[in-house]
Amino acid sequence: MTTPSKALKKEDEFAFYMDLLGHDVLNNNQAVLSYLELVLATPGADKRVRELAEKAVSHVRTSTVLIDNVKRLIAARTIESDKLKPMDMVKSIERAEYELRRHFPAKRIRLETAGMPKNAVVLGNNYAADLVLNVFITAVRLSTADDVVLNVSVIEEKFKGKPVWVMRVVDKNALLPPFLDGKGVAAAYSQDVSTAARSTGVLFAKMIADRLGGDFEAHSLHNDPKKEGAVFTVILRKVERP
Amino acid sequence: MTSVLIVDDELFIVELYRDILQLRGYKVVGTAFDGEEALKKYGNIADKPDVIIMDHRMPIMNGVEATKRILSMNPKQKVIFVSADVLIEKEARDAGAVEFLPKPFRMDDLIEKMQKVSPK
Repeated sequence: MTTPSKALKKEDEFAFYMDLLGHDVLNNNQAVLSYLELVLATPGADKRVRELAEKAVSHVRTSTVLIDNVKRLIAARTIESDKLKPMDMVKSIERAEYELRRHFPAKRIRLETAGMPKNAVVLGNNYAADLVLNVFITAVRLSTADDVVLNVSVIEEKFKGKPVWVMRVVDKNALLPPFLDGKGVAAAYSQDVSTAARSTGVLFAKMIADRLGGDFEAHSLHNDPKKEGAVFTVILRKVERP
Repeated sequence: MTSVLIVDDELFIVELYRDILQLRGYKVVGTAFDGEEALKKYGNIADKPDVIIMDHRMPIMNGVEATKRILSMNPKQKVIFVSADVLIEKEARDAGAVEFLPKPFRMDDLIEKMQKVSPK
């Protein structure tokens, strides 16, 4: 194993160790996931065993997303806005739908995406695509149902006087923790590390959206925090298709 | 039978790929734990493998460098790059890898890519 040079700044040293940790965790996740696949592919496997193995797959996938998010957050510290490239938001939604099913094999997930625009191009390279995926993963993780229906809309609007594309994801079964409701997303993370640790996907969404000149918010559909239903809103700067 | 050379510095990963690929009917012609060992083994194999599964972060020589050198010996060699470093994809493809899979991936996805790139 290599050790970081003494010349490394404290921040870089942190990133170095995080990188090592992430790499090893992902390797181990690979092994766990593959052996679970073998269990799931065993002919005549008990239904309950299959269900439990599918849940284990979701947890492995979640731990992978956690690592990826932290790595991307570290990389995102140095986003240079003049180097950002356009990204098709609708294509990212299509990709996310495929990824979601891999993440949550025990859940039946359906995206309602009627009336999607043809040219919802935003600024943000893969960061924006990862942001979209994270919002979907967060919605499904917070959903209390095994049959998850996400209603997705993409609409052109104005944000701080500039044209943006706004993606809204409504999950009628998502139980949003009160600390994530509304402006709480930003406030919670700036005040309390333990809160941040509970949902890095949301933290990632907020930080990346901010850095791309947009925004991210989550709102409960009701005033009662015990009632299910939430909307997740991603705002990204509109650009013309090159 | 499609033949495979596995290159990864983690023994448990090498064993994992070998076990599952053999179960799925592939012939594992060799394994290597770093890029340099991969080059040596590749040079010594008379019947070149149909596919090389290549990791990136390895001691002595990384996967991108090993891929470049193997392709300089045999430009037709198919290399499938697998790595926990998602940010290395572009470099891997520029080095000549025909496919890239971020770890952890489903073995079905690896098999699908192997079927895609290996001779019919």
